[in-house]
Parts: sequence; structure tokens; C-alpha cells
Amino acid sequence: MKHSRNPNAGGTLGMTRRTAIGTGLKGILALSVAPQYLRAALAGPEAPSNRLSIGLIGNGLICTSHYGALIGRDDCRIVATCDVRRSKAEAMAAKAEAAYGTSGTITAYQYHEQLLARKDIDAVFVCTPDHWHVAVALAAIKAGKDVYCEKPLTLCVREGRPLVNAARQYGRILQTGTQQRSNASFRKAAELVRNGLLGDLRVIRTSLGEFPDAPNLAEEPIPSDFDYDRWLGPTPWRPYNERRVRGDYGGGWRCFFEYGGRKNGDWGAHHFDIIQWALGMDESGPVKFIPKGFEGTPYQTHVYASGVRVERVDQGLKSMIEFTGTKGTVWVSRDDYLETDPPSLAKRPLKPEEVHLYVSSDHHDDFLGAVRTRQRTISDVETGHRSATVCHLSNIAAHLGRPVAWDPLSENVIGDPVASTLLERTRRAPYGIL
Amino acid sequence: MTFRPYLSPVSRLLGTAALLMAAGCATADVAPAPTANSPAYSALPSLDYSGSQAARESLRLAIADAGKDPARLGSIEVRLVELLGRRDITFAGQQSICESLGRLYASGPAPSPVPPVLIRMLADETRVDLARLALERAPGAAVDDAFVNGLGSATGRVRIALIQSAGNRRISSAVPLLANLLQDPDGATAAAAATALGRIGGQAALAGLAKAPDPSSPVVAEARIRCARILPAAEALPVLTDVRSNSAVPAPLRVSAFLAVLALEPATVSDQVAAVLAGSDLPFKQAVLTDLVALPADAVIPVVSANLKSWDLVTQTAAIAALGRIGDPSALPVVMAAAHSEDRDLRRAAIGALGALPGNPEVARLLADASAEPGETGKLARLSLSRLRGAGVSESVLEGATHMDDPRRAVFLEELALRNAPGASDILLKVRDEPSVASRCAALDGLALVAPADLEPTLISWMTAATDSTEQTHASRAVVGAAERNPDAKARLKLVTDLIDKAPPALQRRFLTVISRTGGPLGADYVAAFALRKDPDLAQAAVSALGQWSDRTALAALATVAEKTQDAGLRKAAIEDSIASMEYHRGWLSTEQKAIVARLRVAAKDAELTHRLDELENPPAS
Repeated sequence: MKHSRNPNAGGTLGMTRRTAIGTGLKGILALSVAPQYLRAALAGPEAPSNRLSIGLIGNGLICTSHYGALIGRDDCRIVATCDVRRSKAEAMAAKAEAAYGTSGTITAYQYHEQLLARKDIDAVFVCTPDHWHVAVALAAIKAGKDVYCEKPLTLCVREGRPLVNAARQYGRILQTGTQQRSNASFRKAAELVRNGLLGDLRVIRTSLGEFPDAPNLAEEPIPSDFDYDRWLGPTPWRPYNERRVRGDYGGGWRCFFEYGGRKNGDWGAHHFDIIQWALGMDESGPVKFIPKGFEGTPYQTHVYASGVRVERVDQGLKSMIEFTGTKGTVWVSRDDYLETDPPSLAKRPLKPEEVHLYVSSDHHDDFLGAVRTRQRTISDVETGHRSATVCHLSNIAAHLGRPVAWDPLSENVIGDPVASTLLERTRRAPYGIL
Repeated sequence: MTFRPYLSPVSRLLGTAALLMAAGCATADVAPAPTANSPAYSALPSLDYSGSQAARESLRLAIADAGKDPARLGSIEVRLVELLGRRDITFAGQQSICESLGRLYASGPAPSPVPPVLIRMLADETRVDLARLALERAPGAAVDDAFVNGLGSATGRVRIALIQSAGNRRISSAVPLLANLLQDPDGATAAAAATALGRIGGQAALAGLAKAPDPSSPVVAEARIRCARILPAAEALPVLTDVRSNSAVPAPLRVSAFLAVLALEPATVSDQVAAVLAGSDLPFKQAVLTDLVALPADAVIPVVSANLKSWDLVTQTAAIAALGRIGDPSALPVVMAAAHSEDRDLRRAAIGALGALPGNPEVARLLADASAEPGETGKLARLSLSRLRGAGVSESVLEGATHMDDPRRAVFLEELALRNAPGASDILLKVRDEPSVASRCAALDGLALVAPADLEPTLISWMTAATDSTEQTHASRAVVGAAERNPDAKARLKLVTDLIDKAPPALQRRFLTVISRTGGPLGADYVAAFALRKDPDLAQAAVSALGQWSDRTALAALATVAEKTQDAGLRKAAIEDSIASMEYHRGWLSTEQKAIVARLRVAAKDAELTHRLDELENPPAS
């Protein structure tokens, strides 16, 4: 077994973060098809020491992971942290100062507007809960920053298009945190599908797991350093309870539809995204969403115009995603797991005339490289929006308890006004207009 | 207090007496007596956040059950408005009802008149957001009026909430009020008004924005751009040009105005792009470079071709990378020229871009030369060459691979396989008899990628006959590659196990590694047997091979070793290898993997290992 706990390990040539640290960044930069450069003259005149200056917004669980990836790099520098719970921002800043061996070089903020007002910051990582992703990313884009935004990119479908438009209209880079695209096995699986090497696709199955039900929570005193109203932001008011705001991969705020998409949003943002990629649907999407138990299927299902069905099978799959066609099957998971039937497919080189997908062997490299070269990232804003749309529509169909028809071209629900209303959410004042 | 009967729009449309009775002609602030046949969600008025949410769920189910039936949905709507008017209703109850009303209103006929209880809530600081949940996405002039009327007299937080709704609903009749609010001393109110005007858009909103005391403030400038974007070009251009040229406006907004101008004036794209890229305004350069891929190729490529060398190297590099993304064949000459640059980064950008453009034999030779370079440039060139399309490219690769005196031969041999060229295996096999170890190794690398399963015996023969250790290693990879393409798992394994069975211990240890690369449960069981032999070196090699297994099928074999070995060190290694394999998938363990964890728990005689096994079943960190 190839042991690796690094989700981005084992890229095209087996380069890992550890290797990169050992050999220098240049080693992995050149593995991408789009070359990436260390020069930072484009980063802005105030960028110190020719490094990209990074701000981390939302300093909870997932931010710790990004911190770990960024802190060892010599091509960027964390210069600011930000969390509505001020002590978290301060702790993250102190941790980074200790790692850099500096003091007083990193500022902790409570509000993202303060961080974004700094002209020396080139790019921000948006690591908030889902309900703040778009508002913060939009503000960053309008402040002239490039953005790495955690997945799912949006909280609801109608947040996506304004974000895509803003990125284009302001000429900014956005990387969605769907890092499975930067894993060689997922790319290989997608290329096998895209090139028809599995024959006519019949069904795609994926496993997302389950969260516990959202708990009914009594009101608790709000910690003194926590701006809870700001944490709630555009979502409907609810009483404070530590379990509501907790960052927890197994629960916490992820259990609540108010702040995310539960498992469809949390893991669907990864696996549905790979499926969209494999099917060449990065600027499109499925045409129908069928909840579990409807139209004769025991599984939550979505269907593409080609007839390809995607089933959410939460038990019994041997991999995270399974693509089955008339000529073969591919099973793919993290940890570089790729298995094919027939086995000859797994390492089959592509012919020049076949579809070669964008190569990224590290999601952070790809983002930071794109910031410098001004090229779109592997998980560009449009693809992040489209993949999140699949997540949201799956939830809408489940919530309504009926199939929902979707037009991916116009991005509208077909023939179901109630479902249409669920494409957006009313935003609580003053966290209002996107 | 004014009491006015409220009729749902649906009930008015249907006009049935029965529905009127069901509606109960509900009056605000009067609590109706519960009836025996009230729906379960009638308990909503007492809903709180910590207790049972059954009433809320009941309402969701009722709406789902009503499907798209307007009569049933209308009936629910009437009942909800009635419940909302009760004096004893909790905040949570109001919130839940308003969320559902929002869904019903948005999907049905416009509520007209707007229920009085919601009008009152729109003026209440603590409940205005609840009323907005119900009304903001409801269609109709009556709802627009409710917001505009409320806005006229509102202050503070209520006013900001109503401004927000006016913007989100794009209520054009709110423009005069919003324009006046641009001069409000409260900055948040003025900013919200500007943002709302931008959202409403169009000429009237644009005119309203002229009342702003500071037209260069970010919110006002952004709103002006937003208004202009939906105007005809002739009306939009002066606005956009004005914003772009106002140095008091923050750079990102000036950039946005400029990009909007580019979209409206395609005839000027070439000149404007050339001017920006030749300049020194970094925000503009960044944005234009980002936008190159979206601009018309016939405007971009001539500009880059004509001006590239006059730009700074960083701009050149980004522009060449963009040409690769655009993928237009007319970019080939300038990209080829850049590939000869002495600047490393520019050259790499060009080498990367060449792999995305239709090429020719000259490009193939250039990439082959670069492929032979050490380091990252060489790797990037090999990748580009493996993707290179175009007339004569495949022929030139084949020719280079078959001419022994071609200095690029090793590259072309490997590329035959990387490009999955027809007949590649046959050509590569012929290299076995050549004198050059480098060529033989290159051929073996290619065979590792493409050799069919029936070549496995031939490759084993090549491996065992090789005297050069480097060649042996390359040959073993080729054996593994061929074995992996054999759909028959037993046959795939047998050739290697036969070889191992006959080999001396030193070679057995080496060949165990070969099996680890082929993977599969049968091979794992075979290797596990070596782990239980008395030869400690062989046992160690076997456990090591299982730990390096190329897939996850060695877990059961490792568990068997952990259970049966008498060697505490091997036991620990087997358990640690199993944990390491599964650790990444915490929370994703299959039924089979959970069973293996149970077996390992029994075998582990170490608290730390037991603890780590316990942790495996915790939820994963994504």
C-alpha cells in the first residue's frame, strides 16, 4: 500500500509536499502543463520580498489544513488572519509567527473588511463556513485580491452566477477548494471516462456518508470575543449554542442546512465535481434530480442529458466513485487509489489526439501559480459554481420530496415554482445584496 | 388596531366558499380557537429552538405533499397567515412560518393585498427580517409597494433591511427614495442605498446615483458600473470611461470599468491590450492578462506576436502561457520563438504552451531536445511532447525512435509509449539486443507503459538475463506493467511466483517487491506465506512488500501475519502498515476493512496501536 496522508500526494510523477519541501518548490511547479513561475512582479508593488502575501479568512478546522500547506512554502507568506471569533484569529497569527520565527508581522482581524482593506495582500483563503463563502469571496475580488475559496463554493444556486461574473469582470483568479482535481488518480479516471475508454457510460455511483440530524439547541451565553451576529451573517437568526458554530467534520455547523448543504454539499462538492469533470460538464450540469425512493430508485440520483445516471450509494462501495460503462469500470478514491476493469486501462497512455485534462499535481501550487501567471485555475470559479449547483439541487429535490427538472443552460428549474424559490435564500440585513 | 380580512391570492382565484371557511377570515392579532382537525403544524406558534421540531417538519411535509397543487398550497398559505397573527406566537414560530410563506408566495400568485401582519412586521426592528423571508421573493406590485411604503418612514436597521429588499427586488419605484438616501449622514444607510441602486440598474438608477456626495466612493463607483453594464453601449461607455479615468476611484473598480469597455468595444481590443501590457499599471496588467483567454483570439494573438519582445519578461511569460490556453494554431510562431528564449521562465511557458498547440516535426524536435535537459524543463517538455498533435509529428517521433544515431533517440523511444503509438511494443522490444544501456532502459520504460500481458514472459526473461542493475530495475517495472494488463489475476501472478519459487533467497527478496507492485489479494496471500517463514530477512522483506502494496488488497494478508507471526517486531510492522493504509480513510472504512480492524485489535498487544485502531473508525478529516 502506498501510504500517504497527504491528499495531494502522488501527482503525475509521484511528487509530494515532503518532496517539494526537500527539493524546493520549483520541482513541483514544472509538473503542471501550464507552467508556473516564481516571479512575483505581477503580485503587486507592495508585495514584500517578492513573495505573495496571503490572508486567511476563517481560522477554523479547514484553515488549519491550509495553514499547514502554506507555512512551509517560500513563495508566499501569511501576513494576516481573520475570524469573527477574535481569539481564533489571534491564535492562528501567533502560530504562524512562531513558525516563521517572527513577532508582530502578522495581524489578526475580526472582520474580513479590515483584512481586505490592506493593499499589500495579494490573495486570500476563504475558509469560513459555507454561508459566508460568496460574500467574502466577492468582497475580496472587489478589493482586487485573488481568492482560494473552500468548497462548496456557494450556499445556494443563485449565489454562484454573481461570483462567476465578478471574477471575470474584475479580472481575478479563483480556485475552488476541490482539491481532488489535483490528484492524479481522479484525473486518470476522468480521462478514461472522457475518452470513452469505458464504452458508453451506464451508471456512476458515489458514496457521501451521512451526518447526524441537526440538533435542536437551547440558547447559551455568547463568548465575549465572538461576534455571533456576524457569524450568522445572512442566515436566519438562531440562538447561540457552541454546537451550532463548532467546526467539526463529523457534525457541528455542517449538520445544519442553514450553513451548508450537509453531505451533499460537504462531500458532494468533491465527488460530484469529479463526475462533472469526467463528463465534460464543467460549464453545464445534470437535467434531473431524483430523491431517494422516487421513480423506482432506492438512491438519490441525478441524470444528465446523455442519460448517464449518478447514484448516491452510501453503503457498500469499494471506492469513493465508481464509473461503469459498457466496456469497463473504474474505481477511484483518495490516496491515489485507482482500479480498473479491465486492468489494462489503469495505466494506458493517452494518444495525442485524445482528450488530455488539465494537469495539476497540487492544488495550492496551481492556485499560487495562477496568481502569478494570471491563468484560470484547475477548479475555476465556473466549475466550482456548477459543481455546487449539483449539490444544491440534490438537496432541493430531497427537501421537496419530488424529482426536479433542471435546465443547465439557463440555470432554471423547469416547471416547479416551489423548487425555483429554493434556488436562493433571503439574506438577513445588513448582510444583504450580492 | 385595524382588522381587515386577509384572503390569499390563491383563495381569491379559486373563489370557493369552502376555502374561505378554511381560511377562517383570519384577523390579525386574534388567536383562533384550535380545532380538532387542525393540521399538525398548527403547533407552530409554540415552536422554540431547543424543543421538538415536529410542527416544523409537519409543515415541510404538508408543503411537499401538496406538490404543485395550487388549491392545497393556497390552503396552507391561508392557515399560516392565520397562525402568524396569533398574539402568543413565538419568534421561532414566526420565523418558520415566514420561511414557508416565502416559498409559497414566490411560487404562486402575488399576495395582494399583502397580509397586514406582514406589513406590521416590516416596520418592526426585531421582525423585519422575518417578514422579508416571506415577502422578498414574492412577485407583484403590492409587495413592491409594501417595501417602498415602509422605506419612506423607516429608520435604522429596518431601513437598511428595506433598502436591501428594494435592491434585491429591483424595485424601480424605489429609486427616488434611494437616491435621497445617498446623502444620509449614516454611512451604512448611504452605502446600502448606492448598492441597491446598482442592483436595480439602468438609466434611472444611474441618474439617481448622481446625487451621491462622493462619486468616487467605492460603493458609488461600483453601482455606476453595475448600472452601465445593462445599458446600451452608447450610454454605458461614457460612464465606464469616467469611472476608469477617475484616479480617486480604487484600482479594482477602475479595472472593472476598463474590462467592461473592452467588452463593449471589440474593435479597440488590440490597441487597448497592447497599451496596457506595455505600461506599468500592475492591476490593469494583471486583469488584462487574466482576461486574454476570454478575448477574441484574432485580436489577442497579433498583439502578442507583434509586441511580445517589447514587454517585460513577466508579462511575456504570462502572455505566452495564455496563448497555450487559447490553443489557436496562429500562435505557434511566437510561442516557438519564445521557446528559444534564454529566460528560463519564459522558455518553460513556451514549452508548456507548445503541448497545447497543433505542432509539426520542428516542434517535436524542439521538445525532444528540451526533454533531454535535466530537471523540470525536461519533464515539462516530455509532457508536452506526449500531447503534441499536428501533421508529421507522429512520423517524426517514430523516425527518431528507430534511428540508432539520432541523438534524441532515448526521448523518442519513451515517447512512442507515452503517445501510445501503434506498434510501439514491437519497436521497443527490438532494442533489447542493442549495445546501449540507456537505449535499453528507455525501451523498458516505454514497455512498462504499453507492453501487453502476453509479453510478460519475454520481459521476465529480459529481467533475469540483465546484468546491469539499472536495467534490472527498469525491466522489473516493465514486468509489472505487463502483468497489470493481464485480466486473469491468477495468470498475472503465476509467472512471477514461479520465478520466485525457483530463485535463491537473495533474488526472492528482490522479486517480492515486483509482486507488491502488481497488487491483488492472491499475490498478497502468496507473499504473506514468506512473512511466516523462519528466514528473518525473507520475512522482513515480505512484510515490507505487503506494506508497499500497490492497492488495498493486502490488508487481510497483513492481518494474517499479525495474527500468526511469533516475531513481535513483524507483528507491530504488519499492524502499523495496515493502520497507515486505512488511516487516510478514517470514517470511510468498508465492511471488510472494519472486520480487519477487529482482527488487528485482537492481535495488537500494544496500547498505542490499539488506540490508533480505535481512531480509524472516527469521522474523517476532509
